[in-house]
Amino acid sequence: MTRERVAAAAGGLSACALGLVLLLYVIPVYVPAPQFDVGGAPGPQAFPRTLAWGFVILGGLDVLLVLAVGEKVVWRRPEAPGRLLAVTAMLFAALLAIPYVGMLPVGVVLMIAVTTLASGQRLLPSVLTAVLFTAAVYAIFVALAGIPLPAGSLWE
Amino acid sequence: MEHFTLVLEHLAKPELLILLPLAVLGGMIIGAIPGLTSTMAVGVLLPFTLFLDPLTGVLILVGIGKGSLFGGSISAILMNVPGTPAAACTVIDGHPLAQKGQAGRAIETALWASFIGDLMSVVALVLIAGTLAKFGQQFGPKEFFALILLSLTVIAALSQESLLRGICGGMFGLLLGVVGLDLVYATPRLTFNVDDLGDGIPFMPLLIGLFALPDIIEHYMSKARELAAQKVDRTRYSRADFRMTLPTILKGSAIGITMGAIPGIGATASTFVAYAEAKRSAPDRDEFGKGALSGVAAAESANSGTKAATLIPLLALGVPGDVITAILLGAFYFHGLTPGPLLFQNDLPFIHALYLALFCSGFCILLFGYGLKRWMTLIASVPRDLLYPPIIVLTIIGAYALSNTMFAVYTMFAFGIVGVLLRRLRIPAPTVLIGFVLSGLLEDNLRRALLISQGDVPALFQGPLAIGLHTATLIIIVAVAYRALRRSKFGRVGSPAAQE
Repeated sequence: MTRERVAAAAGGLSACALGLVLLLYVIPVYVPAPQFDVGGAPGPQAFPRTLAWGFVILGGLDVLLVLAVGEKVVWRRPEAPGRLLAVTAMLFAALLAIPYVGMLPVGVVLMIAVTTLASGQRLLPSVLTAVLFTAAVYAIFVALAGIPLPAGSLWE
Repeated sequence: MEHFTLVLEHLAKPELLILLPLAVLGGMIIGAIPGLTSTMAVGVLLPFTLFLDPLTGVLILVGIGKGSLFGGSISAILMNVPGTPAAACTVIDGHPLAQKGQAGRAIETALWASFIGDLMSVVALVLIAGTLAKFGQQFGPKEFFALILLSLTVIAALSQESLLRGICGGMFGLLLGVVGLDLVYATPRLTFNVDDLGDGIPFMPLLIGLFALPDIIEHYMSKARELAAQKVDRTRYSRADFRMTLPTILKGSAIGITMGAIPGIGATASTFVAYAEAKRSAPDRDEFGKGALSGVAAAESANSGTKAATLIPLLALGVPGDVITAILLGAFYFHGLTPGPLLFQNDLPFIHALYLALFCSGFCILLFGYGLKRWMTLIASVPRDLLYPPIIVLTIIGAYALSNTMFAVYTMFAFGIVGVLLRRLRIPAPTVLIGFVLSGLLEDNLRRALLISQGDVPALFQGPLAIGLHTATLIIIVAVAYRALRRSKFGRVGSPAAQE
């Protein structure tokens, strides 16, 4: 089977695999059987089990159909993998920093870093956008609407 | 008189009067910038609307959706790139008009077509929703169960070329909706011993993760490039143009309304049908594709015609027809309102206030469209690399805002990855969201129906309404399977990019 065929059947295969994992492991372990009966109403496992069987049957049918038709799919490779990696790394760093430093400082640094390092924009427009946007966010959400933002444990 | 006072009470709120026009304006700007979608905007802004009163919150989301439908035509005309998928057809004749130096005339045509399409759509909503809601009062649990099954099937069948993957998407959404405490048996389901999942997967992070993050990731997967936009000239949409395009606009609006009212079809498909019909019936059909005003008018009236029409099944029966209405259903639930026949029974002034505000928002499109005309080239050319970082920050704030936990933010990023995977696997994300929103309702109605029948499953398929709805579901499945089998004779080659 070629790579393009596998890519075409990947949706059905994933559905099938999900169904099997649900039936064999997840539902027995993470959906406890009921201790009592409520007059004919299906128990807590019934609905997830039906869905799991649905995944197995429909996913299997999709794989069969894709193979029968000879459908092929070419997965598009990222044009700029370096840029994507850089943004992902910055985002992870930001997520780790937010609980300690808070949303607003991390947001400013994240915006400037992404626009300058990953997108190659000039520093001045990036800083201006980041600072003005953060000021607007603070004014609208925190001061006006009273919506809380992650504050950061370092400042407590 | 008392009813009228109650409607006015709903409407006479300063925040509504300020924020509704701003939402329409914001939607137009978002729609005009290629790469920013109305789904992304509505998803990111939903958490902030929950701090407002229900009518204002819902109308802001509808206003953004409406504004973006017209906004999408701006970049379609000026840049040859549809700002929203629904503007794909506007490109065909809109951009050639701009190249001929008639960008102003093309934009005004799109504006009037959108305005008329929108007004007709609201009229259809007013006329049909109430009657449908009265009909919906006859529905019991088994009928609602059958109706939700039918809606999920229609949405799955129409959202992608593969019915099977569409249904798998819907079932994945239903499965995600199962997570949390089972209220009948008081047992946790699929929580993986994570306390934060006790109340279920939070709606907001799931929504933002599935619909905003994949677009952001796709943007950074591509090289940074900006598109050039044509300048808006001083050409106008004359009275003669109006007289010439009016029949096309009326026909396009009718097509948009009809297709918008059916769950799953949406604005994009309706524009292609309206465009094809306009071309078929036009005396100058050779002009189509080279800059025919009727082409722009047909596409724009059809996509705006769908907007209020998609609210018909949502308001009357509580069934969402597309992603935006699924998000709206979530917003209704958050505000403690349940769309459907009961809403018409219990809070009619709210419904009538919504209708009136929808009428007004149509006039906002016309007003801002003319006001912004000169600035449209500038708006459409805003560097997207400057816009995406603030959107990333807004997604984090949006996910955090309701629950005030970082767990919600991490959940959002997890669903961002799920969203990217779904695109790769060609499983439509809208069906996942609609399945998630309807999951509780489906299981609840199934359980109640079985409780009434004391566990007798065949009783689910008894009664004229239930039989009718199940038969319709079966017919759709058979029709789509037959179409797929016929198509399979010729073989297919597809790619995710082509399908998007």
